[in-house]
Amino acid sequence: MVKICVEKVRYRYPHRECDVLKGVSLELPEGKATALLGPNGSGKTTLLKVLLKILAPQEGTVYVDGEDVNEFSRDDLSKLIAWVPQEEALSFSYTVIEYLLLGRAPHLGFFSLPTKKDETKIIEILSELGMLHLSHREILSLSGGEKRLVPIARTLAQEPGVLLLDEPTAHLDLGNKAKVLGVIKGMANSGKTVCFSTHDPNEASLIADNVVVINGGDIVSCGAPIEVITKDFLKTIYGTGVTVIKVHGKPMVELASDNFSKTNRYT
Amino acid sequence: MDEVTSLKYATRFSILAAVLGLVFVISLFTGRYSLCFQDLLSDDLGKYIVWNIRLSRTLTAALLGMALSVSGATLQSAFKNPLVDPGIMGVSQGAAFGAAFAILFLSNYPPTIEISSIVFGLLAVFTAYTMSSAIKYGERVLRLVLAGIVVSALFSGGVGVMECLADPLKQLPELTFWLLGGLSGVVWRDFLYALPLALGGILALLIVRWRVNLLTLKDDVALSLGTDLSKLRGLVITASVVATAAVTSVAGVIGWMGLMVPHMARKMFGIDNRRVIPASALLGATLTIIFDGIARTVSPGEIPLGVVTSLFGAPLFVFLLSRKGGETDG
Repeated sequence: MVKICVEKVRYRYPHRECDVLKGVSLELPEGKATALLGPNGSGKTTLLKVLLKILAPQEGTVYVDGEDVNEFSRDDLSKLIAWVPQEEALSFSYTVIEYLLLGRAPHLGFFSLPTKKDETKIIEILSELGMLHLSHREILSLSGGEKRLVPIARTLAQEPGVLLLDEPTAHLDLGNKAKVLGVIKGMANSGKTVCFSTHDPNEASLIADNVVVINGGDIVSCGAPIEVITKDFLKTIYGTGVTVIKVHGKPMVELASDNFSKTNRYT
Repeated sequence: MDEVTSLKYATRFSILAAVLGLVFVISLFTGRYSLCFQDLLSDDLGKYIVWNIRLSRTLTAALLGMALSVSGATLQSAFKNPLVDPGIMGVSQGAAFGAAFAILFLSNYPPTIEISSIVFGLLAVFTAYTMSSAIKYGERVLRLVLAGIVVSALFSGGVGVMECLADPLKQLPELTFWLLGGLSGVVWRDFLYALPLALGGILALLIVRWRVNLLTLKDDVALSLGTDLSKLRGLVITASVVATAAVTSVAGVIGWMGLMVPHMARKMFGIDNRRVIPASALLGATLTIIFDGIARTVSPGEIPLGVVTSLFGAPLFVFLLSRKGGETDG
């Protein structure tokens, strides 16, 4: 299992006037699922990219298993941390199996080609996920939900200890959302350290062991879902009234009906 | 890949290799001086024509087609853009300028023209690469493409100036033929000049062909998969440019092959560069030998190869794009 710590990270994009991350400190518990919850533009994606060493913070340090992330080569880091971006627009439509094989890149030499062993590994992953029938389909011909599962399957081929996902269920219907969340939860259950960003407190409540709320580049709350996802707190963060009810002991959020009273006008 | 698919692709590769072999042999015996196989044993002139003219020319055509097509397939992946061809970084126009410069100001001696075109081809790429850092618009790949367009335009303007300055009787015909591209007059020496750099570039690209796939992914995903993007992109662009500049220095500017052939390869072998790059090499060599055969046989005077590749390449490209499969729509 791999542990990640973030210490006082400050990040500002070039040519911007203010920091996107303002001294963020955070710990991702090993083998648990952590949800990064927060409104649009709060710094969730930036934080994930800092964890992945894609963005270099102006201040602060990210530690992977106690070692400064900058000490890791790109190659070594890719064996530890896998990444699923919010959207992955492909310029060329690979088949599912060809795309998943790219997940083996960290384990292959620079001049090597994937072997039969790598292909067998991919077939096993596709079988586990119930996606074997898709293996020779072109990715662009898949449904939205299937398309979302493919990069997650690619991370399994990568065999990382940590999985970072940026809004993995964005734009998915209920069925596909459940499927994707199930896979993510399964990865945490299998001992991987998972961190995913989301706008939906219910997703965080359903599968996360730990919820980190980020707003305006700062971490404003952190803890178990039941502690963090409360009516008053969410109203402060999102600026809208919500109702929080408990379902099987987990807090579930719905928008308060008084947001949509008959007296509301477009103005 | 399942066994049926593997067998399908293996069969296609075997057919492509066999067709290349056949086209190569036919090319040796095709031309205005008609020959058959027995002539190689009995006819001294026939022997001379095959060994000293047609063999070197056919090999150069194969090398030219391979280099342009393999470079095209690689650069389309490296720039995440299926409309890219080897001229994208200004290499073709840079090489053209170099040749024009040599013809006008240095000497008509072929090695001088070849060296000058390689030097200016590489200079164009270096300029485009440096210029891309100064552009403050778009991502790295887009900046490279924009810088390539600018450098191409600059060298193209330079070539125009050279054409105005050229002696219309002595220098302009040679310059024009070189700019239209062709293999007439290619001898063993030209082939051997181009061979080391072109073959080196092609082999380097064949070796890293699977890694080239990583460049088609979003940069953050490629990085997360352990890819040193600058190193890999730098390597494949350099190898493509060197191979292209080497063959351009011998054959002049030949359009369409680098754009069209990779698309053809993708229609036959899917998207994975493990197959697309070698298939582009075989297809590119075959088609260039055929086009060169057409260039030297259909009319009493030779038609420049660049004209033939444009005449056949453009409609073929539209035909390919009108058929299903291959790249994404956008």
